[in-house]
Amino acid sequence: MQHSKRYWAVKSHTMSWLIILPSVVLFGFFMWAPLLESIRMSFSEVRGAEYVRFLWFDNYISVFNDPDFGFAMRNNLMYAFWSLVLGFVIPIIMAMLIGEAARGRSFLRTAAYFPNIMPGLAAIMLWQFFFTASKNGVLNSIVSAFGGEPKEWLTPELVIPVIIVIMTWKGAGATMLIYMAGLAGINPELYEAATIDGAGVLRRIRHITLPALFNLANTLLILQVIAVFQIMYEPMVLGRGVPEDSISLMQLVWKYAFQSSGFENGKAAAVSVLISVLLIVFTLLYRKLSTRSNDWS
Amino acid sequence: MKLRISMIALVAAMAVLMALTMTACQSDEGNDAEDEPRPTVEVGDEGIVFDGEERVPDPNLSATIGIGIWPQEHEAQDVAMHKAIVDDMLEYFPNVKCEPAFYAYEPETYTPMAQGGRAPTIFQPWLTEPKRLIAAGIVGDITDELGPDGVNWARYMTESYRNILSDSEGRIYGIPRDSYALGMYININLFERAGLVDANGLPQYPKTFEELSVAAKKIKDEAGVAGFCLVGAGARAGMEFTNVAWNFGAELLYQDEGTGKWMAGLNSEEAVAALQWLKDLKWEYDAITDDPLMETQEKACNKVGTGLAAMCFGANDWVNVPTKTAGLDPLKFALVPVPKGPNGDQYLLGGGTTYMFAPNATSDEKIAALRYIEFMGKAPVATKEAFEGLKNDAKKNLESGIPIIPRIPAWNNPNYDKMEKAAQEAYRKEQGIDMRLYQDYYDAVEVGLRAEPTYLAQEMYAELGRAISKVLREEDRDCKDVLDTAQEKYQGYLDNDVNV
Repeated sequence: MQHSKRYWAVKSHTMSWLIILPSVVLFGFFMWAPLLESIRMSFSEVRGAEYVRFLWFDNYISVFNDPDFGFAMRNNLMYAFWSLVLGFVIPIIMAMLIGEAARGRSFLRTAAYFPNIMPGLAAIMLWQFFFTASKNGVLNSIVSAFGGEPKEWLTPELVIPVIIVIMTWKGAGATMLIYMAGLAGINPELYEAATIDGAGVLRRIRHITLPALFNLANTLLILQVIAVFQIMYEPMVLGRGVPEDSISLMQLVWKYAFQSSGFENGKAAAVSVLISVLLIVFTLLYRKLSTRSNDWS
Repeated sequence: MKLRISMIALVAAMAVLMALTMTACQSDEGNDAEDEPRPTVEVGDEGIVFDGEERVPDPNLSATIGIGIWPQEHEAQDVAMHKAIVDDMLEYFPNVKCEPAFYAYEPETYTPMAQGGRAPTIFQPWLTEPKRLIAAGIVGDITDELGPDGVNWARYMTESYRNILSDSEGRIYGIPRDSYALGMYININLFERAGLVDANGLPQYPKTFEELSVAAKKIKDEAGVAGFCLVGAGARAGMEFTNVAWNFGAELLYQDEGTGKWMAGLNSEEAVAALQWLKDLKWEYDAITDDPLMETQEKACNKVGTGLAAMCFGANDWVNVPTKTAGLDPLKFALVPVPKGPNGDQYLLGGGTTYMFAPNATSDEKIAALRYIEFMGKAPVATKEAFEGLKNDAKKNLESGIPIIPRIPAWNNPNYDKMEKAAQEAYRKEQGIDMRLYQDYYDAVEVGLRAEPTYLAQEMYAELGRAISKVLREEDRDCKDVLDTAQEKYQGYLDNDVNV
């Protein structure tokens, strides 16, 4: 019996859909349903997680009126800024340096990745011992050894950059591996040709390495900003009791949901939705700008 | 709106907490139970008046209950005690199955557990939680089970606890476990090293805040460890400071007589003086631990227990931490009242712990869980089983090295109080606890117990905690300035959520 083209097309699509069905169901159940529910909660009065009534923008207005929202928004932008200043370039430099190493490359790769293995909270608590104002803190012990007085390290000005340094220490190894994979994909003949043409190291980096990594860096930058916007436990541990200095938007979500005198899940959902909207707008803008700069180049 | 309603209920509840708890402490009068005929009364072997009739096995009660108040595995003595309770339960309720389900209540974990139907049948949140758990609809209603057709304990409930544990329609969702009052923990070894003991070997503990600063400094100089361990960040810091500020004469929250509005008083002259005292303890006397912003309640208790600090704020319900957990000899531990303020005010901030129930628990499950509490000796009834439970508890404390001290009553049943005293007495004597190390504290509780702020206490504590962190972190921060900021924010919360 001869089957039509349409039959084969349907059969092949059905098979494909059956293969991806478990993922779609799981994704829908664990990702999209909570996301949509969160949006609904942000416009509602909720009792626990149960919908009570529609409130329009009351939750959002209440969030905007909370002085902590202003601090959290400012701090999140600071986290994003410092993560770009400190955290974005370092993995690229590490990847290039380790890629150039003639010996011990495996060791260096493992060493750079090693902090990733450590659980996040444990890593932060480890660093807490470095920065504690106690005379027994690591930095203060060093200062004392040189005759100095113990001091407060996590001042309002320093707490956010320090948190970003710690995050970079912990996460740079994984990002570096991605860049190294990108570097491995560059045709070595390009470097040979450039060297024959008299290009030095810096010119090879500028004209071969960086353009080759551009698309990768583009994507990783967006992912980094998204990750930094979700920062929560790091300032919770290192925040030194003054939320103005370091409270993040995700911490604010946690505060509304669990710390306030009522379980204010509607307000918590409102902040979550605001974070999503901010990140979507940022991503779209960035995509548009980077596409334009690609076109120009 | 819901929040406002629950806040109004909370106000009523907290306003009477002190008076009613004290009534429970001191007097037989005004007992709800006296309005009703007492069940059969029997005089026990040790001169105790037991409530109720001889218990007979009840095979009709059929349930499987998750015991969230089960101890952790490493607490061998507690586990043995609970296993004995399960055996006793089986004897009288052969169709009740008790499943260990250790659970330390945290709002972050409880909410999803309750909403997912996975909460243990019984768990023990602290007193600030019931109102919001009830408002969120994630705890079980036990009104019927507490009534005459159930365990019939509602008659012993004080009005204050009933209000805290009920919704606006009077339905009851929990019962009190015990009450606490903030005081100060003392490591007597360190007082001895600093020469701060009298001729009888009793610690010369500070009676005023000025004395506290001087004693803490002396201990630091003489013994080489912190005189005081101060929690310098977070809500706990704000809570402890609330007690200090009260004793300095501050009214942190009050109702304006003219407008009826609730007003914050966080930046009053008295509150500023209290914060200045606290600031001086670090910057002028240098008598506290190195980094108070890293201290927590648990760390502070452990530091007193291990001899890294001589004093910290602590209540009667946590004496196990410095002793059993941190290893301090219970005979070298004292619990004393929070110092008096400059005008002689001496309040002790009061609170408590409760038992609450899973929202999906059946009536039989709730009754079985209540019976379990009764067999532990934590119910308000004086029964032989409860007496055995209390004796086991005291015995366990003796073996674990936890000071056997009286609880601050949370119920209103004089028979129970007498029974508890009798159950503890022999073990306390064997332990050798000198009650002079606690007497001033219990005397102060009788006259100075004061309930937590009525509205938005967590928000108040959080704002005060921030102010404390600022002055402990930066020497040149002005106390008035940081309290002005706290005042503005807390008043904002009051205006948004309460004064509407």
